[in-house]
Amino acid sequence: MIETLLNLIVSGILIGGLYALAALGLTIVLGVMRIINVSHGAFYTLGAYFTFLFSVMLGMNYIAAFLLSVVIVFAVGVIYERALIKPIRKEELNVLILTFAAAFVIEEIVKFTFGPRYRNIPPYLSGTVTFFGGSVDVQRVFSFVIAIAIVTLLILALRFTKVGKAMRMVAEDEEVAGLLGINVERIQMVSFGFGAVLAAAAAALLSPIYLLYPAMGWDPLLKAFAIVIFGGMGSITGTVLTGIIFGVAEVLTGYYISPTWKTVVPFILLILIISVKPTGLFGEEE
Amino acid sequence: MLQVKELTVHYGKALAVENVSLDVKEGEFVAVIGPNGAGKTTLFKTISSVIKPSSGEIYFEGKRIDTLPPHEVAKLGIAHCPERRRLAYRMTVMENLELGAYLRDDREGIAEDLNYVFELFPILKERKNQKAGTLSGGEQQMLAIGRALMANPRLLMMDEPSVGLAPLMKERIFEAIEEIKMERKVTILISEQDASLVLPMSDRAYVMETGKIKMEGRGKELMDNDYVKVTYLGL
Ligand SMILES: Nc1ncnc2c1ncn2[C@@H]1O[C@H](COP(=O)(O)OP(=O)(O)O)[C@@H](O)[C@H]1O
Ligand SMILES: [Mg+2]
Repeated sequence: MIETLLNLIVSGILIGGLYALAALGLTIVLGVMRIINVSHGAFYTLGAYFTFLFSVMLGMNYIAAFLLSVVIVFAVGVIYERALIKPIRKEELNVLILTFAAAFVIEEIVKFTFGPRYRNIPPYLSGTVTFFGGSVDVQRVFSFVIAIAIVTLLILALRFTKVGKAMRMVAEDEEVAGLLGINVERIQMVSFGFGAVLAAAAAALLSPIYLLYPAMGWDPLLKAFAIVIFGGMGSITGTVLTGIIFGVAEVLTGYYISPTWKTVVPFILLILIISVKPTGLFGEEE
Repeated sequence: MLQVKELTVHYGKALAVENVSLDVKEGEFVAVIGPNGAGKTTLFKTISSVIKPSSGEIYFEGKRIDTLPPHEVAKLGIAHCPERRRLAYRMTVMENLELGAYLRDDREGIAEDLNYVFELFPILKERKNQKAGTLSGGEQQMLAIGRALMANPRLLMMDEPSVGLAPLMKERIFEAIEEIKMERKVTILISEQDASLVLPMSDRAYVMETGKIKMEGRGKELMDNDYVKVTYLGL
């Protein structure tokens, strides 16, 4: 009994780390640019399909495929920001609609290029490890470790590097950031690129676990929104913890209640928390 | 050093600054005094290029700056300590000061200026690892000034540094400003509602009302001026 529970919690944490990674991209873009990027899920899709292209179709080694995908999605993100977001960033509603529309366009491009059917990337690591008497796939553990490594690196970079500090300054006060000599538009462009990269990395790490299809980005997008709001908009710690909480909640619900309730649980949790604390778990009261 | 020529600024259709000309020479301490809503902040923000003017021009050391983005203006050596502090409240005191030196990479110079700021405001040194948001209003104002000093600017602009502070703290801030004026080779442009604090230390001052320059003169002269006495010094 207790072993099953511990085992389920472990699988929940493993998947939750990847949710956290994807949601963090949304948090950063929201914080630094004050926009809601509905295309975030499309970058997730691109990350998965580029990994599929390089590893399965072109036969590259998985690590190389992962790195190449991430670099390409960064470039896509930067170009996307310059071409689409920058001209209209101050019009919040337009940004919302435009990023929504662009997500559909990207989905169609993926469908056209790779076809509508399900694809899969075979796990590149086999075997299981034992936790609390239960077994977990090595593949999942590996994906989780990489995800947490990326999250840690990102937190350290935000805290200690010059670009990271500039990003935090822009997030707090864009106008003053400019007065201090920070090139705000460039910082925003780079932040958007990083945001896209985090979605793509999460997808690439999940791709040996889940199936790929052109509309695969919507589900993680909604989940990422729920995580960001639950954690308190703009809070990195809140986002990471919430990702893990959601992962665990999903797995437990799937096992003890019913798999059909699994996907709804994060949203139920979200509604509960914002009715108690409207700014989210780690959100600051204004 | 700084020349503002026939500057007019609107917010949408509302006129905020009307045909203002002003200049600041190297080494001067120049004040802009005027009541709330006179257009002082708008004038300062336009000099920093945060706001674009409807007409007029601004030159810094002969170079036109109103067409540049704000970060390029900062690069030329203008530091703007904004009204109501505007710190990075979720960042530490130290991080705020580091951001002040964002454009610099002369390590020794930065370390010297950091020392100077800590000597000027010892409380900031004590609180260097605290979040800026946890400081008192007066301490936050010190940090805002310290952050601007960390840029080692050629022109230091301070917008209403005493606004919202208790009388004693206002005096403390102005003592520090007087010290900066004496000790640093920096040109200063300052705006202030409380003329009695700033006029005594000003080489020159402008009186600004409803978007226009109403008067200008040497600090001492304006202190003896009847209109200024009655309107701004409450004498
Ligand atoms: N962001 C803004 N939008 C519209 N009007 C503004 C804005 N900021 C200031 N104003 C108006 O511009 C005028 C000048 O304001 P301001 O420059 O802040 O004056 P001061 O700094 O001397 O108090 C005022 O009438 C004020 O109401
Ligand atoms: Mg003002």
